[in-house]
Amino acid sequence: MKAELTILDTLDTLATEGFNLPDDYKNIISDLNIDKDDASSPWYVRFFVGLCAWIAAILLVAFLFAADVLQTEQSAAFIGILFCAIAIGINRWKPRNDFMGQLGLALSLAGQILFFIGLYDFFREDVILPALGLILLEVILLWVYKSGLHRVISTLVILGAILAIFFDLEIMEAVHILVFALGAGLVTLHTEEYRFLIAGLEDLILPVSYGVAIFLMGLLILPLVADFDLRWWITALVLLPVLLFLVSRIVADLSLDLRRGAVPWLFAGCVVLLVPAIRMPGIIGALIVLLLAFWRNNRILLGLSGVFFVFYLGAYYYSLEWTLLVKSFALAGTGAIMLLLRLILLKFTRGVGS
Amino acid sequence: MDNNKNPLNSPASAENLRRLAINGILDAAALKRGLKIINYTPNREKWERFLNVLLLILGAGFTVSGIFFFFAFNWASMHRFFKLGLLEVAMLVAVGLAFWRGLEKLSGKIALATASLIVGSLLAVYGQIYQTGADSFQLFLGWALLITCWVFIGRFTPLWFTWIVLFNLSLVFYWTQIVGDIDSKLYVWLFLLNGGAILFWEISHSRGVDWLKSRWPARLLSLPAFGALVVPTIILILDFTWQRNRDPWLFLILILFIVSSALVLYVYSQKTLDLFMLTVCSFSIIVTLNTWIVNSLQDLDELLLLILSGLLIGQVALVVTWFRRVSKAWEARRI
Repeated sequence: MKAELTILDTLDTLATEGFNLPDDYKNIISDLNIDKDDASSPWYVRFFVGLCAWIAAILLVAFLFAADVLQTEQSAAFIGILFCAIAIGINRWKPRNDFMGQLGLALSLAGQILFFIGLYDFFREDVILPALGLILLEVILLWVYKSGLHRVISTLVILGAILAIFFDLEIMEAVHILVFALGAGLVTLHTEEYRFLIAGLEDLILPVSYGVAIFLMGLLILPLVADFDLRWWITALVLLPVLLFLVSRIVADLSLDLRRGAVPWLFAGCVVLLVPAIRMPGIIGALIVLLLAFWRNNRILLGLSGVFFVFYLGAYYYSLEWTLLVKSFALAGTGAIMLLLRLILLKFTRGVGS
Repeated sequence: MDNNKNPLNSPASAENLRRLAINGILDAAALKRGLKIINYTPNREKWERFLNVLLLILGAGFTVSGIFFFFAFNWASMHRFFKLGLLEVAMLVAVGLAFWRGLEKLSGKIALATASLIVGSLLAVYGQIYQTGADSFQLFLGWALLITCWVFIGRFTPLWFTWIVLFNLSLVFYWTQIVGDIDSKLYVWLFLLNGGAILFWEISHSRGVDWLKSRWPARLLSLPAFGALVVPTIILILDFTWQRNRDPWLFLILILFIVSSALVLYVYSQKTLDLFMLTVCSFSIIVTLNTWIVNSLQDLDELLLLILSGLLIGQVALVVTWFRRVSKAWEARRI
C-alpha cells in the first residue's frame, strides 16, 4: 500500500522541482498550528440550517405583521436594518456559538425581507429602487457578515435583484449579458482560486462562487419555460467562448499539446455542442460548472452540476416538439455518438497513456 | 518537539497545504502543484477516467431512453413480433456485452443495468400488444422480480437502488389502483421496505461488501423511510380524534417513529458517524414536534408565530451543537 505523503515529503518535492519556498520553511512550519480548529459542516447540514433559518425568519416577519408591530413602510425598513445590524453584531461577537449563529442568520434574513417590503411599499410598488437598495444592503452584508451560508444567500439575492431589474425594465435580452458575466465570473473565480486564497479572500470567494453557480444554472432553466421566449441561441453563443477558454486552461494545466492527440477532438466536441445548445444553452452552462468542479475537486459543485446536467438533458428532449419516434431516434443517436466519442477517447488514451 | 506532533510530519492534505499558502509558505503556483502531487486535483489519468465514465453513463442512458421512447410511440405498422424481437435482441446484446466485458468492470455493470432497464420496456410492450389488462403495480413488481438475480450478480449500486425504487413504485401503485385510497398501512409498508433496505445495506457494509461501499444509497433511502413516518404522524397530531376512531395503525406508526428515531440517533452517532442520517432524523423530529406545539398552542394566535420562530432557532442550534460534539468525539477516537 502506498504510504501517505507528509507535508515534509510534499515540500521537499516542490523544492526539488524548483518552486520558491522560504529558506527557513522547516522552522516556520514547526511553529505553526495546522490542526483543524474549525471544521466546516457538510453541505446537507448547512442546507438544513439555512432552510430552518428561512422558516424562522418568515415566522418572525409574519408575527411582526400579525401583531401590528409594523405600522408604516418606514418602520418595516427601519426594523429590517435594525435586525441586520443586530445580526452583524451577533456574528462578530459570537462567531462560533451555534445558537447565536442560528439566531443571527434568522434575524438577518428577516431583516432583509422587512427592508425590501418597507422599500417596496415606500416607493409605491416600484421594483428598481427597492431592488437597488436591496443590492446595496446585500453587498454590505456579503462583506461584513462572516458566514459561508449567508454569503451564498446574499449572492443569490443580489443576482435575483439584478434579474428583477432587467425584467422590470423589459430588457429581457440583457439576460444574455448576465449569463456571460456569470459564466466568465465563475471561471475566473475558480481559475484564480489559489490567488484569492493567498490574499485571504477564500472565505468570501468560495461562497460567492457557489451562489453564482447555483444562479447560473437556475437562470439557464428559463429556456425550458415557454413564457421566456428569448433568442436563447445568443446565450449559447456567449457561453461557448467561456467553455473553450476553460477547456484551454485545463489542457494547459495538464501540459498537453493543443494540436495533438484527443485535444482537437475535445475542442471540436465543444463546438458541436452548439447544435443542441442553440435551443438549450444550459447544456454548455452545466458542462462549464461540471468541468470546473472536477478540475478543482469541488464535490458540492460536482454534485450540483451532475444532477442539473442529467435533469437538463432530459428536459431538453422532453420539451422538443417532435413525435416520440423522432425523439427516440435523436436520443439513441446522441447515446451512440457519446459511446463513439468514448471509443475515440479510449483509442487516444491507450496510445498515449501507456 | 515530539516528532509525531511536528506539523512537518502531518499528512499533506489539501486543507494543510492551503494553510501553508495562507501563511505565506507556498505561492499560488506551488500550491497548485502541491495539490497535484498529493493527488487532490486531477492529473491526466483522472481526467481520462472521468471523461470515460461520463461518456459511458450518458451514452448508455441516452440509448436506453431512446429505446423507451421508441416503444412508447407504439408504431402501429410494426408487427408485434418485430417489436418484441427487437427488444429481446437489444436485451441479449446488453447481456452479451456485460459478460464479454466482465462484471468486474464498470462497462460490464452498465451493460447489465441497461439489460435490466430493457426488461421493463419489454414488459410494457408485451402489455401494450396483448392488452393484458395488468395494472401498473404488476408491471413494476414483475420488473423488479425478474431482474432480482441480475441485481445480485451485477453488484452494481445504482442497479440495486433502481430495484428498490421499483418495489416502492409497486407499493404506491398497488395502493392507488387496487386499494383505492392511501391509508396508513401503505406508510407502514413503505417504511418497512426502505428501512429494511437500509438495514440490509448497513449489515452488508459492515461485513465489507465491496459494492455497497458508498453511503449515498442508504442515505437517499432514509428520505422515503422517514417521510413514511413523518406524514402519518402529522396526520395523527392534526386530526387526533377522527383518525383514532378510523385508523389505529397510526399509533403503530407513532411508536415506529419514536423507536426508529432513537435507534438512528444512537447508531449513527455512537456506532458509526453519519451526519446525513442524523440531519434527516433531526429534521423529522423538529417538524413533528413543532406541528404538535402548533396544534397544542393554537389559542396563542400571533404570539405562537414568535414562539415557534424562537423554538426553531433554538432547536437547530441544539442540533448543530450536538453534531459538532459528536464529530469531535469521532475525530478524537480516530486519533
